[in-house]
Amino acid sequence: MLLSLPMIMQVVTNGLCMGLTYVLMALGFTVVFGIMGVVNYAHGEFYMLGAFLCLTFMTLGAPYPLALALAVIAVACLGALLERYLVDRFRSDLRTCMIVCLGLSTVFKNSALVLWGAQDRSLPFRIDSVLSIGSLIFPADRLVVVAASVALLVGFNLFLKRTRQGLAIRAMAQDVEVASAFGVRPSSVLPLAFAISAGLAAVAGGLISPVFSLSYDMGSFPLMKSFIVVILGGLGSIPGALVAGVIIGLAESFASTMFGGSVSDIIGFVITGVVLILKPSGLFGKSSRLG
Amino acid sequence: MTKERTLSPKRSSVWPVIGLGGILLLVPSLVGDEFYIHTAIMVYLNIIGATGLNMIMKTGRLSLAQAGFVSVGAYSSALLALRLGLPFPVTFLGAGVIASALAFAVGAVILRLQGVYFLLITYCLGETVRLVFTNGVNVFGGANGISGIPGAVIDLPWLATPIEISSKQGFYYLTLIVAIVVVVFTILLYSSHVGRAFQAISEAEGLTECLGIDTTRYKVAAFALAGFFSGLQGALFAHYFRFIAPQFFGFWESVDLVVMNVVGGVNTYLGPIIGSLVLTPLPELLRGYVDYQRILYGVILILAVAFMPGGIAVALSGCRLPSKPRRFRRGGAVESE
Repeated sequence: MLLSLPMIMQVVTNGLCMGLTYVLMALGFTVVFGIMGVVNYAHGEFYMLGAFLCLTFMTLGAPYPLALALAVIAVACLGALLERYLVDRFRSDLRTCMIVCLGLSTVFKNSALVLWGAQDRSLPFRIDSVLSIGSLIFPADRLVVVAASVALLVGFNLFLKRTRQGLAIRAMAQDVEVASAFGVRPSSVLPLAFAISAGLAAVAGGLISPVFSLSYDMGSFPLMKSFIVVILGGLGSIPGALVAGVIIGLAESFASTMFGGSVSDIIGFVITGVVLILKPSGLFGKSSRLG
Repeated sequence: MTKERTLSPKRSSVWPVIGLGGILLLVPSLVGDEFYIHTAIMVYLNIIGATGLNMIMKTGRLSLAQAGFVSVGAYSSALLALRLGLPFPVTFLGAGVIASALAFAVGAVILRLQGVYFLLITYCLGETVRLVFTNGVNVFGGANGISGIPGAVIDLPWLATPIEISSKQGFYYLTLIVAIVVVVFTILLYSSHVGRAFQAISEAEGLTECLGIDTTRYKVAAFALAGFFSGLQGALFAHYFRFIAPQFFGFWESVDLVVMNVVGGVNTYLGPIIGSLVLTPLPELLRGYVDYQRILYGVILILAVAFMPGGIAVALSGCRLPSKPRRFRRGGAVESE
């Protein structure tokens, strides 16, 4: 197969677009895991809800950016409530917590089926234009996803590093007991962290919704990807999630262009399996902190 | 080993099970409706797999790859029967052996991973197996799967006429017998020194190692045995349905087995059995509310673990779980429990 420069750029753009979506998903997943030790199986449903709420707000007349913002806020609030009143009660036991999250996932997925129907939907909003620089052509919708993701990642990092709430979250991730002793309240920080996690998933869903179609089970695929990304990068590691997400996105994009879809489905698992065997705690080691 | 007596199963808890087995033998002649017999077969199939998974959970691990091993068993048995024309008893045991060999090989590597890492890698493993079957169009039939799998014909040298099992009634007995053998074997295993080693590993892996017990060996053994049972489950599934496809063995099928254990009760002999018994027919019972079926299923799951923390088996026996000290985990590092 002949790979020309425009083609490589196309593949890289696609890879980055998917990879950064994975990063957004994986970040939320890893934040919740890093702080609470909760493997959140309902994470994919936040992604799905982000996309569908975006659709609903748009049908109510909101323009896309406003609809996206509203959807994200709604999902974040839902996340905070779930943490406060449900997940928090179970977080001391991994198994029980897993079942609760699976139960939640089933409830959300099938509620979406009832509310929005079984048919694939698409957002009444598309970015059809392309950006061409010389012989290189970039589809604008994917560039928007890339740019927005990068902006969010920078913002998220600043939040964690520069604000008091961010500090509290990082302290919690290191040691819940000691952080509590220093006056960090788990009852306010944990719901906040969960809300941010859900919000990030909703942003990913909302951002990708103009590019792909929407269906009630759209959350399972990115959930699977965020598992892989998080394992590859190292659980609880934010730089790990970033690097691993981009690696997986690019690897899949190249694999699907050169070898077809079936190879690209498997490649993430293969990379992760090999890395885990060589380095069981993932690329970015067993860092117990977020950051 | 002074705790030996308290850890072995009480005689009184074994005999009612055997008695119940006797009653179960009569069910197909009492119940006319084939639908109930079908549900019972599914329950028995799940008991086989859930009991296998229980063994892994006994060593403090949680596997999301079990449906993968079930599918390996199903495909092995189907291909051995269709391509090589081997008789059912051979393909049936072969399926168990192949699934078990895969579990052994993979387990030796991945069981070095701790806690959640192990959980997530088994998830990757299950998905990889499914994708291999989906993409292997030439050998495995791809997404269309394999059809035309023969029923179970048991032709043993000492039998006058071969037993041909193709009806629901026939499979009822076959799956029941396999389930009973698996459960009895597991109970015997748990009450032996192996079972005590499993228990010790789940409670304090490091300490067990200090006692001179090779924990990796026991963990790999548990994983391989679970793989064997899953393989048997898969073989029965393939010959009962006569048709298999990758989508029968996805993530949620693995999750169902975990849920059966947790809802039934992980630390009891009856846990996986009760879990299968309650959860397999549950979607059918909810069928009257077809739109809300899966939603109710999710709600019931959450309520079950919220109000019966040790599982149904513990709730039924009326005893309280010893309260565990609440451990605060350091971020990232999660105990295997």
